[in-house]
Amino acid sequence: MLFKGKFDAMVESLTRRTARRLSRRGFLARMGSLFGGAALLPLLPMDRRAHARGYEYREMGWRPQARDPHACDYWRHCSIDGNLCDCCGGGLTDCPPGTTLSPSSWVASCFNPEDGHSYMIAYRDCCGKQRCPRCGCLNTEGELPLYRPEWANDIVWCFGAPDSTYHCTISPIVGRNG
Amino acid sequence: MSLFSNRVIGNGGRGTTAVATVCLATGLALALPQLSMAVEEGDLPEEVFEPVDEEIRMLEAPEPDERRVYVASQDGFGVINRIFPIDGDTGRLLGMIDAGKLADVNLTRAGDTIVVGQTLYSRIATGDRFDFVAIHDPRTLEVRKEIELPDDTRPLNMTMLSMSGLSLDERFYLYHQWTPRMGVGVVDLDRGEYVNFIAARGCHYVYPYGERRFLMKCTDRSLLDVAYDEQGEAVSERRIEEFRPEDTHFFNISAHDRQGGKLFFVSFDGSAFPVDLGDEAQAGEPWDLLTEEERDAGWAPGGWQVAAYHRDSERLFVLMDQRAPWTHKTASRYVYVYDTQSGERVDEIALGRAVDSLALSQDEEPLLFALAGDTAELHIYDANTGRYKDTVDELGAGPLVVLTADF
Repeated sequence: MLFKGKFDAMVESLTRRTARRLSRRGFLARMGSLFGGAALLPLLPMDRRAHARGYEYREMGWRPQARDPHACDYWRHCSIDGNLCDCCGGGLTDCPPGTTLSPSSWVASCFNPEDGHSYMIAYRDCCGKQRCPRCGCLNTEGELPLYRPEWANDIVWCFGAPDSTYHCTISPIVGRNG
Repeated sequence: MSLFSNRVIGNGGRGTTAVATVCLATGLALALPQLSMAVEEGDLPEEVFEPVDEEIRMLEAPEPDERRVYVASQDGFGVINRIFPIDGDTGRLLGMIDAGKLADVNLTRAGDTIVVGQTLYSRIATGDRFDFVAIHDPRTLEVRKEIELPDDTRPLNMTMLSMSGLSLDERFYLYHQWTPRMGVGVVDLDRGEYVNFIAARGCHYVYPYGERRFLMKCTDRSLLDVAYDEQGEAVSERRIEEFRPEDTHFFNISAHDRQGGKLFFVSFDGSAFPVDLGDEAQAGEPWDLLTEEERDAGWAPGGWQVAAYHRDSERLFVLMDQRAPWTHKTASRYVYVYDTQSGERVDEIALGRAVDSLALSQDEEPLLFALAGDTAELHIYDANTGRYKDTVDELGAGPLVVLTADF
């Protein structure tokens, strides 16, 4: 089996440690600074690609909405880099048929403007097919370089999956703040 | 009468043209068997074609020079990819090199060898995984040699120049490994084989320098400096502690001048952290790329390859824009230019478009290469004047990597 062993353990440990750490005061402080005013912002629908990399994103930053999970600005996708499985035959938390779910993940804290809570998202890649060409998004809210891998979205997170090819990404919630 | 007579094709109305087209197709179909035989025999049917002896060639690319530039297309995390060699002077695409997943390109200083780390699978996206290095000729673009890497050791992250590199004498290819442990894989290009793994827990990227040394950037904010021998075995290591300040983060990709021995890390908030790569790496004094007023106004570096260094003029070029927090990977529209000796900003170039990645030619009149991933376009500027020169378009899907040889 590819990649199994120490790296899995390291990633799992990192994820768990991060989740534990961020569930305490540091998480509150971080969320406060990151999302304090976000609920006041208008929730305008935006073109996916333009939002992902374009002028609006650079100028306006992350402005999450809670209506359309197929759009890059859907709140759970705040630090996603890849293709939304929901557009590829899967769902927000479901891998498309014929793919395999990677056991490893990177994490982000995303604010849900609908209920005013912040959630820990553990992004998981669905692997074993070519990249799904639909709904490509690059969001970088709280995203860090590779030397902080638990927060880094440039990695093919197919560690531990039977095949290391990237297909798409799901955005399951693993924790809620408050 | 020739089949291609203007009288038939050009002088008719729409109906006549349609009829002529059908006749042309029918005539060609009828003529094809005869044509095929005639070509084989070197004898065209004169009643159908007037013989034209047009030369057909199999081209080689010209000798690589300082102004040749390469663009690597990643197609997201796609399985099959492409590398495009381009003449920066003319904007002419010189050909194409096939590459597998997350193709990672290195060039020798003279540009006479192209080294491509890549990954392929036996059944498109599944089956056996093959990690290997392909060594290409820059004129024929053909593969000279392939070197297998141990199973599953290439780092599968979005391609970054600093994930691999060549030793200064270009004998060793070093690449960062995530698996099975974190460290550096050492490939002896002369022997054509992977020779060793050097463990480097918690450290990432690899910057070869000096006689037999490389530097890595570590999670604990230190730099790891490793010396290795002719067998690729580590012989010593040291740490430059607390190189990265707390709560400061560096872009993944740094400006690395292997030949001149300079390395510049750029932080998200707009500072440069130099390292002098002499016999033994020494941290230099960081400097601000922006004033406090500019930072307050939202100016910050951003993109993918955000910085490039010109060795002879000792200038650092950095992608810059006004941006919201946490948009550090969003393309920038400006390039700020710094004298790395004084830290002074000496120029600002308005690109007129947003780009992700920068590279420079290393000649006296350098070209600035600015790559836009979304539009798959390479924009070329005069680096001294900022004047726009050319655009090369349709460079695959989502290209993010652009590089030149050192010379």
